[in-house]
Amino acid sequence: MGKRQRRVSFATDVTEHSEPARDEAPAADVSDAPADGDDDVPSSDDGEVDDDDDADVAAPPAKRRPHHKLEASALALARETAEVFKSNIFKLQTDELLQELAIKPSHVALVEKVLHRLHEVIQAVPDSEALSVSSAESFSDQVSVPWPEPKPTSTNYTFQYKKPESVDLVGSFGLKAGTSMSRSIDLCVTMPSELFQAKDYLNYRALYKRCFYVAWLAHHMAKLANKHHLPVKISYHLIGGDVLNPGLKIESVTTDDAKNLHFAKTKFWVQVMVALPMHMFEGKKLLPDKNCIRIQASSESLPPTPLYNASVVSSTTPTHYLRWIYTTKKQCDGFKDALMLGRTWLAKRGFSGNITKGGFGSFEWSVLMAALLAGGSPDGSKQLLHGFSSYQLFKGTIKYLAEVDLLNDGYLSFTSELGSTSSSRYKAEGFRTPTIFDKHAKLNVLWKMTPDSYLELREYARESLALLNDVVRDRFDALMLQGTSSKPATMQFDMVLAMDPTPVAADIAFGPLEKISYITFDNYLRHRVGAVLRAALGSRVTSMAIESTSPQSWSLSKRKPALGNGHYSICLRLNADEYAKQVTKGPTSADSEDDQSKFRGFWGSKASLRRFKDGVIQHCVVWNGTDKEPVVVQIAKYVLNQHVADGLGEHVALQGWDILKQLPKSTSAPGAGWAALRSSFDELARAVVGLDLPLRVKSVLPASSGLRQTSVLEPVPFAVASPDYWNDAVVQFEYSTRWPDELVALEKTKAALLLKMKAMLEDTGNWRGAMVEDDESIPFVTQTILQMASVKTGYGFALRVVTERDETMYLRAVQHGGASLKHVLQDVYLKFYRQAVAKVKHTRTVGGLVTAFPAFSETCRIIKRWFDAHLLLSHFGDELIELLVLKVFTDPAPFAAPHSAPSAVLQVLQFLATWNWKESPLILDLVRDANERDDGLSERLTVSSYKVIEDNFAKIRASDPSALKTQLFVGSKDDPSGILWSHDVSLPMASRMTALARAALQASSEQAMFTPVLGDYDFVLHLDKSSAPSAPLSGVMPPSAFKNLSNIPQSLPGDFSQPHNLHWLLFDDLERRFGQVVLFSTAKYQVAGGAAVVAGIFVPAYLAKRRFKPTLGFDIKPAGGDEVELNRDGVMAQVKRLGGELVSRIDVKN
Amino acid sequence: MKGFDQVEVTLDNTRHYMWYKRHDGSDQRALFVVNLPAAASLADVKKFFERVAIGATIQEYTPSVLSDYPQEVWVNMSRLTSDLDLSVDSPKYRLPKNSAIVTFVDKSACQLAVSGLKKVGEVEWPSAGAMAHYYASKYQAKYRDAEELAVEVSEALAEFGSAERQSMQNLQKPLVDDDGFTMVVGSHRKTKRGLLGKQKLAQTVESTKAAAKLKKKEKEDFYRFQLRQRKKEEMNDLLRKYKEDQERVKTLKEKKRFRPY
Repeated sequence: MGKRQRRVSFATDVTEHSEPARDEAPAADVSDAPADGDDDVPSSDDGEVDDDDDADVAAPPAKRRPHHKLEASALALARETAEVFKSNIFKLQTDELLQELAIKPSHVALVEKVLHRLHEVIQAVPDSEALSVSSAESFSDQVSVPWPEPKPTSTNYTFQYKKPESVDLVGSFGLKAGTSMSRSIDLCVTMPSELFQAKDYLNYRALYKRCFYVAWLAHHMAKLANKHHLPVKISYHLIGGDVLNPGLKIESVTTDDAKNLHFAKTKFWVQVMVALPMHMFEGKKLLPDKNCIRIQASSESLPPTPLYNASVVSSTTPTHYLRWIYTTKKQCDGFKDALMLGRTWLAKRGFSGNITKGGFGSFEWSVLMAALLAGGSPDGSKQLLHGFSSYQLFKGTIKYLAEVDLLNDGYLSFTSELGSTSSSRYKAEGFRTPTIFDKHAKLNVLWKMTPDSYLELREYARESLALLNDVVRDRFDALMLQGTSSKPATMQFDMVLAMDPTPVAADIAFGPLEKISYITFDNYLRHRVGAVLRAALGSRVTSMAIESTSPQSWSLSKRKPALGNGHYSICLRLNADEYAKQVTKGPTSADSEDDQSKFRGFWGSKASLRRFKDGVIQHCVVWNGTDKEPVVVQIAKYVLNQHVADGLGEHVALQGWDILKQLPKSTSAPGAGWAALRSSFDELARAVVGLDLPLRVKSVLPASSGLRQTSVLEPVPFAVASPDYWNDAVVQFEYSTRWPDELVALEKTKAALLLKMKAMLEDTGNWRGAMVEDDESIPFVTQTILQMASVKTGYGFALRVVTERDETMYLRAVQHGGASLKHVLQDVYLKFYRQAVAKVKHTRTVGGLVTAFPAFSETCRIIKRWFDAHLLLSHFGDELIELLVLKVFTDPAPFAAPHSAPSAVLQVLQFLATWNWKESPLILDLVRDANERDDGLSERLTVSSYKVIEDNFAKIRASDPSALKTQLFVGSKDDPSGILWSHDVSLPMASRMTALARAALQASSEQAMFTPVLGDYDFVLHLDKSSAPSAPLSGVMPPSAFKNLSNIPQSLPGDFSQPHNLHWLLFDDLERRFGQVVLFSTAKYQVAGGAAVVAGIFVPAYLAKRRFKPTLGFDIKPAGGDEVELNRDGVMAQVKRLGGELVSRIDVKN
Repeated sequence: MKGFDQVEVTLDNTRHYMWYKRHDGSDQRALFVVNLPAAASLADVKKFFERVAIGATIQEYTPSVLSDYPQEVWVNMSRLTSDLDLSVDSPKYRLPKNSAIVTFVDKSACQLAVSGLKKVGEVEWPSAGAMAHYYASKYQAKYRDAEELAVEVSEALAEFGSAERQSMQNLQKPLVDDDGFTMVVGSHRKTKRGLLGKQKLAQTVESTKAAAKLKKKEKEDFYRFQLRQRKKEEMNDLLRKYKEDQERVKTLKEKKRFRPY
């Protein structure tokens, strides 16, 4: 019976009979799948399924409509991807990306043709005779032999070209894993072993022989290529940036002859590398700790030559590794795709196999992946399984990079021997250089990496792992599509120092011993500077990259590439908690004498011995960082002078920190204002709570930008003219049922309580207050505010009362307002909610994040200042801008989280310039847990709350698809609606912000970034500077003046009602009278450098003719019949009248 | 135009237009004027009518509150939050932005003004531009003297108190709602609207609680059909999500979002 019924239902809904879903949600992370075997994609049966169902699936009824078949296959796919990939959307996006990355089949065919022809050309190159050095050097007029330093002199061996042992296609193209992102195709020409002797690994001999081989090859290929109808341009090219390994770069040259084979349109070029025969030299002798360049030196033992050794060994292995990786690829279906993903991931972060670009590219990635497929953990158990999907392989590799230390703690040892079954193991005790060691080839695969580049890679891997573990939202974009490598270094790194060592190059000790260890001066300098800075900066920095540019290709007629410009960029990621510390601490007096003398030796005269409060006597160095020269820069300059070359410090310049000058200097001690303001507020709160009022005060809550450290101007005592002087706070009383049940009377009751509060506080003698009426913050409601300033500390607060009855009142008004007023009343409610509830919440949230992100406060203030410089601040509001800035701190991907204001500012601008508000909601997770484990107690956004916010956005866009009404959507846990702070940002202002951010990123100087563009406004009122607010009274140091203490107020003014900013009052008045038809903009912080203007744009919607009505409410003129239109000239005349003597000039756009 | 007459004035060499008509229900003594220049004060209007028609003496000038307020219509929040009979709506709140009612001393003065307005072609608007002290005094007006404010507050609260008592007396009579239930009025609840609002909220809370309770008792994996139903739903859900994702990727693809370079 049951079975029959089931069959019937099968026909109607096929989905019922597939196996049940796994317990895991589709989005759940399953990459850490059981490591219990090599079986393929985790099988889908689940134990839970009863036998009947299985039988049905095995023998499906014949009558199945094709539609259902389709559904069933889609379902199977959906289930598979949900389990094997992170989520469906990730899998689908990966597929699309891979499709996009695939090389066009037509290009592949053409390139293959080219390769065949190149092969013919190479085979046609004639052998040479055995030549001596001098004759080898001058075998051709056009071609120079690319000898490395030092040139070979008299030798007792000869140079010769003989037919190569083999010519192979290697690299990713050879693996058929090439992507359209990289344009080079690697061709490996292996020299025959009879050209070598066993001792040739010593003293560059093998390399010299290869140089001649390359030159001969180039000379003859250039001649022969045309004959084979392959017009090409050949130049020398450093393979992987290694100066010891010159190869050839072959590019297509377009000619008119149709017989010729052209491949310029594919944009590919061929890199010919000349390899040494495998196992030609004894691997043991070329281990990284051996010396293979013998020079005469005073010391007994010569230092090891790891770079030279690795260069020689790696030259013997390209074809071997190709074979090994190919075998692995054959065994693992996902390998190729994972390789392509890894390659894209690396490229997006600026990594490649080139020494100058981190030394970790797709080759290193594929070796690591293959090694992990054969083990990877200390006991040799497998980190990756052959049945893994490309996503799982990719994530597993990222995880390994992120979590396993290959630098100090240990290294990975594997064997690339074909057919070997021995597993790769992680071995303890590292070599202080990143190491993945191949026992078979005796090569450290990571030889091109430096400790710095390894740490940077690891940092990226950690960030990406966090993204991969994010189950809440889709992170594909940040992982794979957005890159940071094309962005300026000042945006990517917290601090960038430009170094130009050329003037002091002669003083940098680069002797023969350094030469054999580091091969080139450039390499030596980068290692030396890196080591010195790392020792000096210690925990102040988390990672460091030293970048320089040097040409990689050069003409065949030259021996060496041209020198680079000699400029270096030292790019630092700072540890936000540590980097500004004024003291570098060393060993204590209890530590060993050795440590102590080492510390003294390193720091020289700067080192001192100090006794700290806790009684410890410790060696330390004290710095006095300034805005212009932060501590980190001082340290860098000092140690570079001390340990690299005297005078080098003077050629080090901090990049991009001029932007900090945009923040006005406060008249009080910098940075001290925030804490003082806060403690003054706490004092007021205590005083208010302690008052004996008819109803007890429950709490006083902060709600101002000053109290969350984000106001443009720092709090300065008695600076009553500052726009941020009065700090909002909300007073909550204990619960009472006696609040009037009517809004006006409720406000009056609040006023009565505030009046009492004022009188009682003033009686203490510590506070002075004033009652102010505010009829604007919440439309149609006159609120009373109590302004209270401390007589002692000089800080001011504006108290409002919020009761539990308020919200009921406003909601009731919305309910009773009817359809015609709904819009207006909702706005009223929103404004009330912002002021009474949301600001308090926002202040609490942001106040917490300010301590979590030390650079946030400064960044936020600069960004606000930027908005204000472009007259946008009043349109966006403090809270919205703070949320926009928080984006780059809480969700920095693809960048690393910024730890300094200059880089964070650029990242914010980058975000503003590129974010598509129309299509994407900005959803912020503003919770910072100390331990970010999901133990169920985390306050972070969950999948469902994220979905709720997303749905809110979808709803808004459904009713407003072209985003004319609501542009910015910024949702968070505090505000799932997403429009609380942004609903009144109009379209022109939002698009202006985007456009200005774009322009700012292109701007030539910091000054240009902050210069307002006034040409776009319909009219601009230039305000009379003499009536501008006074800088000292606003707590701002005038830029040109010396510190004149007599101007700085030391006490509260007698009367708070004295207006300080007439310009702002004019702006406010114009808004009230003409705000409907003109969009006015002005700068709030004139004292901080904002322009003294009020600019206006006529709202286009009001420019059309309409029928006369007495209720139109704006200045009109007759326009024929009973139609009227906006009287623009009339508005202008009235604006001018209202401006009166405050306006010095009016510019009107024609 | 709709019973309005037009009058043209000059304002710093630009033309400004106003419309006027007799104000209804003012025994022919008042004019309703639309589109007055910004910040037109009583003195300005007086001077203006002196120029237009000598003898048209103004008794009262009621400009719209909205002229100096950043909203297009005025909403009486007191009325929307309570049904107490409190303040009488002053006409200044009902007037549209930039309009005013000018009341003359008598009918003839008004007549004089109208004929003067009709005759005159173009007049210079009398006021000069705003001065800095205009803004200063406007700003200072927001600061209230504590004693004055205290008096105002206590007056307003007294008025509210008496209105509330009046309303309470009316409410003490038993109220019977649509379903025949008698509403009980607690002594601390004061008005009808407040009462209804509160009740509604309570009902929704109660009903959700009841629903939650019911759900708790229900066993969801007891019958076979329940299990199957759940599986089916899960499958369908998975499929639906997959299709949604496919759709999303398709739109992303159309936007060329997958170009990594």
